[in-house]
Amino acid sequence: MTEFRSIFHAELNQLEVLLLDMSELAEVQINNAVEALLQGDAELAHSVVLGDREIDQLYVEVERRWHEVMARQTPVASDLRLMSLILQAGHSLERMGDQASNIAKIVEATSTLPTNRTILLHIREMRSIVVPMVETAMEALVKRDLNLALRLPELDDPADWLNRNMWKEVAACASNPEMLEWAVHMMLVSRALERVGDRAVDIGEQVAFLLTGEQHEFPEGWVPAPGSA
Amino acid sequence: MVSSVPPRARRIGATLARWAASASLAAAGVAALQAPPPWPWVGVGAVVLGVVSLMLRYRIHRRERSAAETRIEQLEADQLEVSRSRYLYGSLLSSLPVGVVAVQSGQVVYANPAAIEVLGERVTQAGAPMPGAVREVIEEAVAGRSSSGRFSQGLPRRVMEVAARPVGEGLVLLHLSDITERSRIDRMRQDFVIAASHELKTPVAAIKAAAETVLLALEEDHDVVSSFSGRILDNAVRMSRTVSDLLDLSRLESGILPLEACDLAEVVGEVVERFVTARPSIEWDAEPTQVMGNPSYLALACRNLLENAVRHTQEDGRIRVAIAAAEGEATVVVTDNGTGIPSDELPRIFERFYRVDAARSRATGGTGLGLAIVKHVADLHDGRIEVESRLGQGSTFRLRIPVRPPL
Repeated sequence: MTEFRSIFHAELNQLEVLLLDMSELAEVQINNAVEALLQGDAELAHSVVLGDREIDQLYVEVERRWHEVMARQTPVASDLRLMSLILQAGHSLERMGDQASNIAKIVEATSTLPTNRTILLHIREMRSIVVPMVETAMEALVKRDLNLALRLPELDDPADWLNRNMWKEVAACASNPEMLEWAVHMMLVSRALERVGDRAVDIGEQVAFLLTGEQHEFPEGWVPAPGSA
Repeated sequence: MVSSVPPRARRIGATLARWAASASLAAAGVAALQAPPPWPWVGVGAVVLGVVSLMLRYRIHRRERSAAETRIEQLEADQLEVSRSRYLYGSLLSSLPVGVVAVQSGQVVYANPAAIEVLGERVTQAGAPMPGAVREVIEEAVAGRSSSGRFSQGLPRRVMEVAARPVGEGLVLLHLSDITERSRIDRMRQDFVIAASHELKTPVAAIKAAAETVLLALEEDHDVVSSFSGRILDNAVRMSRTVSDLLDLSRLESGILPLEACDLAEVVGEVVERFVTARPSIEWDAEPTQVMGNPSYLALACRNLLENAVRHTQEDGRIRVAIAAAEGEATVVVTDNGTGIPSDELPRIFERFYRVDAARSRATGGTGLGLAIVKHVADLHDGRIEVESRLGQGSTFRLRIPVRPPL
């Protein structure tokens, strides 16, 4: 019995390693997509679009192994919560890869249009907020660190604010129709980065659920019950 | 059939058998003493032989026993020494500020507390998840190659370096260290040389080009002469400001600052008054606050903070200057709702010649040295400068000065 459990836990660890690989790839993809935008580098943007397949393949592998483990081990309690986390976090990371690819496609489509410095600065800032959020969410999972997971919504606030206020910067470009066309696309980029931040918060919520057994949405000012961690 | 008796028991058994044989010989001799001749003489012989043999065996036993006791004492002393060394090395590794991890056949077999802090409690589990950079350097070291990599951890994110090298017999040693500060200083050094030469070269080149144009146009086109002379003057003023800021910095770096009792509200108030003329919307709120400080350098620091706020806040924006006194320190707070500072630039804004948006801040007349001067003034008062900022929402700078004189 003990041997079965240790095999099971080794399989769970392997699934977590796959998630880590997915998150690291997603971080590189987001960084590169925004870098392509800042530098106007269409080649880099194209490599991001192609690179999305790698994350997708990892997700397929996570799903395949997940079903195998689920069918053979039928886990319960915290193991079941971890299994649920693995599937949902895998999906979130796969979506982050898609957002990077979306940004890269926008870069390709708008490469001939004039850009605006303030908007680029705001998008760069959003990247410096959301990429560390993905790292933090994965660190919270690996270290089973509830405090790190709980800090994610507060990290997300400035990204949300920048996304909400992007329209003001876009409106400021109205006098130049070409720049306005570019700026409207930048609202989509801003939205994509904001979604990456939200997905990182989702992973944090899953980690909190794993550690406490309580299922809550973070932004409601949630604090775990004493002793539940 | 293989005997299941342990070797030590077999040895004891053999010794007892030999003792028993000698005793039986002596006992047989005693029995023979009662028999008719010649058996009594044979009995005497057997008794003597049995007793002598018993005595010899006893002496051998004594010698063996004392040798065994000496060996046991030696072993106990060795064991104590081993425990002591293990305790010493264990405490040394545990108290190291850097992470140390031992990996045997690809599996973590030891991690000191600093490493557990970075990699998590589960690091010694089979196939425990670790950052990709750590897994890669372990794979390289298992294949016999030393290598290093980087990853980040904690909040705020710290840059970690992981280095691994094979140490023989399938053992790999990992070393984890926090290089956040080191990488920041490396980047600062590289950027400083580029920025400093740029700051000095640009106005000189502009002055040279404009002066040449003026010389050529002197006789023919007076409009050009006046426009390019203006350009020469602007660049000369800019250089003069840079040189004057550099001189302030070098004076501050000499580290000698005469301190005197002064009213911080009065010092800051005079600076604010000068700015209010150009920007009447600046809000100012302070009670008299006595500190030990250097009034002219405190004024210089506040001037730089205000220049910065004015430069990065629109005309209709809000700038507020206040003084707060609490727990043995006085704080000059300068708040604005201007452009704000990107989060990844925040740690660098007090570096010399560092500019968040180089093109814009040069155009608005900054030298890139103002905040470096503020930081030096804070340091020389045993105080500190703090900043909170969000891009697009504005910034708050706090210059904290202890109320008591520095020792």
